[in-house]
Amino acid sequence: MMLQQILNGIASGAVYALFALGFSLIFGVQRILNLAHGGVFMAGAFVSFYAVDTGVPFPLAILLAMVVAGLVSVLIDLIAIQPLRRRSHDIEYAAIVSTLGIDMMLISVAQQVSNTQVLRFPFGTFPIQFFTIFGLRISLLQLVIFAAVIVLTGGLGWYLNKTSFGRQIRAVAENPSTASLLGVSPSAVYLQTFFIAGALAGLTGVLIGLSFNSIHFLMGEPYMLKAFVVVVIGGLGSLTGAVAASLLLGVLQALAVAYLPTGVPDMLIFAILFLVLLVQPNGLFGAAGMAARVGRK
Amino acid sequence: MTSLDLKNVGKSFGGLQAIRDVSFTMASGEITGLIGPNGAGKSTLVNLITGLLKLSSGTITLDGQDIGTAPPEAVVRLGVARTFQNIRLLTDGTVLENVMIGYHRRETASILSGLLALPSSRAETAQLQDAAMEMLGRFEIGHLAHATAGALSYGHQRRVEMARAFATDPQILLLDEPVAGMNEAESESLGHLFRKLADSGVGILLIEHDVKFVSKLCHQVHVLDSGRIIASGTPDYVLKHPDVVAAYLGTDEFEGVA
Amino acid sequence: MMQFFTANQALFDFFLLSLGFAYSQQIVLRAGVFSIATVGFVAIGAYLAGYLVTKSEFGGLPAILAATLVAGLGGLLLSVPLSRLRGVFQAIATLAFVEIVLNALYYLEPYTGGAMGMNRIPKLVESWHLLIAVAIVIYVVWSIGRSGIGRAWDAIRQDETVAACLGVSIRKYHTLAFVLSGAIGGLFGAMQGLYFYTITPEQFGFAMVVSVLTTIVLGGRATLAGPIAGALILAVLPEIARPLAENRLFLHGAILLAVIIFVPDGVGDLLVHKLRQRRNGTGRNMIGGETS
Repeated sequence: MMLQQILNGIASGAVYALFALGFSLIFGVQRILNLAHGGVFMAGAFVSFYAVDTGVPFPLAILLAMVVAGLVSVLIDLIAIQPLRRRSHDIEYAAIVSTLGIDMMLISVAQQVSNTQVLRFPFGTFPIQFFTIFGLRISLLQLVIFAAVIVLTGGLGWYLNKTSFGRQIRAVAENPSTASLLGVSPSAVYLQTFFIAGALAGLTGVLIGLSFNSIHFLMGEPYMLKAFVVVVIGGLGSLTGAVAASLLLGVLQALAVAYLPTGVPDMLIFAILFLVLLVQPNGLFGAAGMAARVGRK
Repeated sequence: MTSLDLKNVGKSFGGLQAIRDVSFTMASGEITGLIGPNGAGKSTLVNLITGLLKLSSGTITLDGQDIGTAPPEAVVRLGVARTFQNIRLLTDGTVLENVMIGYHRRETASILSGLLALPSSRAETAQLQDAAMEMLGRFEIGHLAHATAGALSYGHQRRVEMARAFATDPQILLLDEPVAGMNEAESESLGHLFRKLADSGVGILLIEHDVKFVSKLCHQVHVLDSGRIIASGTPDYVLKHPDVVAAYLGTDEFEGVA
Repeated sequence: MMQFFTANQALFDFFLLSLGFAYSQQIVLRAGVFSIATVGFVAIGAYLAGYLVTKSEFGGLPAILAATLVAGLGGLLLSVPLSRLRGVFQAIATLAFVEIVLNALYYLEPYTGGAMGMNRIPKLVESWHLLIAVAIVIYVVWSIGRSGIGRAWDAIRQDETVAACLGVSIRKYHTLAFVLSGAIGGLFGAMQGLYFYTITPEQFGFAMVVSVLTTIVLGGRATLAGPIAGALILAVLPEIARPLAENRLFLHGAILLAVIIFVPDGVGDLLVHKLRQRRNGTGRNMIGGETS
């Protein structure tokens, strides 16, 4: 029973991880919190639903969702972030506000498009199949999500660390002005990271839409809140930290929901977030190296 | 008579030794020069003295009192003020507001009187406003009192920043490249001002890489290179010192001096 | 005039309440603290006042004062850990605080009524009470603007390092901002609680966090006029944009985006600066020519 709950927790943690990867990537490279990430995630789910609805084969619908979500994310960079970069200070605050504005616009569009209805994929879009391993039930979808987390985290790590594009991204993350002296264009890197983050969010949207068989215009908000918890505990900007923290959060939440009264699990989770910020503001998993605190350095 | 003493001061960032074993003394009423090529560690030293960086080794004392671990607000209250190499004004505020905040350590009105606009708070604000206007006059920028600080010319911004630092009523004033980017006439007139400030009893540490400017104003000059002091003495002495010549060799800052 | 007032009284009261919340939010931002804890304080104030009035013998005024005090104390407590954090870390930590308060409201059902909320709270607050409370807060904020407190906050917000190097104790002034933000949030939370007959946890969710923050973004972070301008825009906007009611959220988001890009200081602050420049006869442009 408890093992089953841990397994379910890992499964939902894996989804948090997919969501948080892109969010954390953008923070790591640009030091901004992209509050529209939840809107992009929702947009991905919407695109896949309407694609399937009009007869597009599911795998193609996933691809379409990722591309569209990636492009929406690029648009966010162009509209809401680029105009702020010319300013010397206060970008943190301004970016939170501008991406929040975009998020509200995305939500409003989705609300109109769906007529405030909950959308559901037609039956049979994805095979519902369960396996039993050592007495634990696991669905095909959960296995696919696990595989996606492993492949995408590994792929992103490889991309950032082993390719020349990745080196450019890291150079810009380290110091944009030095990077541009070395011939790397920071704005190209920003657009690229926004595309990757958006595509990841789009894919996550599809997978969540499938898992709960429910797609609606407000689906981004709870994941945004979870993403804050995950990226802080994992260390803002650290990708492996985000994945580890996501799995931890998933398990913790599954157990808390099973054994504690209503209201307490979320209270507990945010209390942990609060504590981590105080004790170890750069996260539990390796140093993200942000100036979270003040004082003689 | 106040003296600032650095003893065997060292600072490393990760494995990089930015400042090593720096010792010197400076006193109020004098202008002391600190020169060195770019990247020698001059600004790091200022940040160590004013409490923005933590010492890796050594001690910094003001009249025998340890200030090496004090936070910046405590350092300035003890009488050590500074300007910044890259001018840091409150750019949205007026010139007057910039200088008024310099008087912060003189404020005595209670929080409650501030919250309720009690007479003590209002009187203090009026009084500091007058003091700030007078200070602006000393720096010959009184006519700019109501201008937005961020919109001023470079030279005026430097003056505002110095007026603000001076408003804290310091015994020791650290000026980080005060004449950088100024023409001869402007630096000349600032030189006279520094002389006047020093004669009124303030100790000035002039951090520069304009060697000529420093040698005209200071009796005592320290030369910093790669985080170490390589020569100390009169301007004539240090400028002929072989290590100093070598450190500056090939940089055009030295031209026309030796 | 009187007719106009009675016809729009609900709108007017709503405006006064949001003005109060906005000052609570503005005070921390003005001091350079990126806190969005206001909604947490408002919730604490509303529930405490509601509880004191319905479950014990408290009258309206003592309940409101108690809520103000407790929320101010909450601000003090919150400032101890939060004074060590900066920027987005402060924002996330205060968001966590709001979420903790919110979930506590669900969990503490015997006292708060859980998801159903608190009902049948007597309506003890009238328009003129709100008006008095707003007047008091405006007087305090006005006073601050003419005191060393305002000078210290403005310096910290613009450049914390510079402020510290001029002797400003960042910790002291951040703590003060937290306490005042808490007290003002608690005060108007209590008044809201005793105004609407009923309070539920979902009133104090993420949507309210966004709307309070929006008021300040629109109005401005540094001047007395900021929250007034922001709250005015938010109160009038739905009336003007009635034909666009279905797209209200879109409009809201687009305005946030446009203001932060084109009027980053907020409409209220911008107007005050323009007026000040005109009065002193020194605009940015008049001396900007020699800027290097």
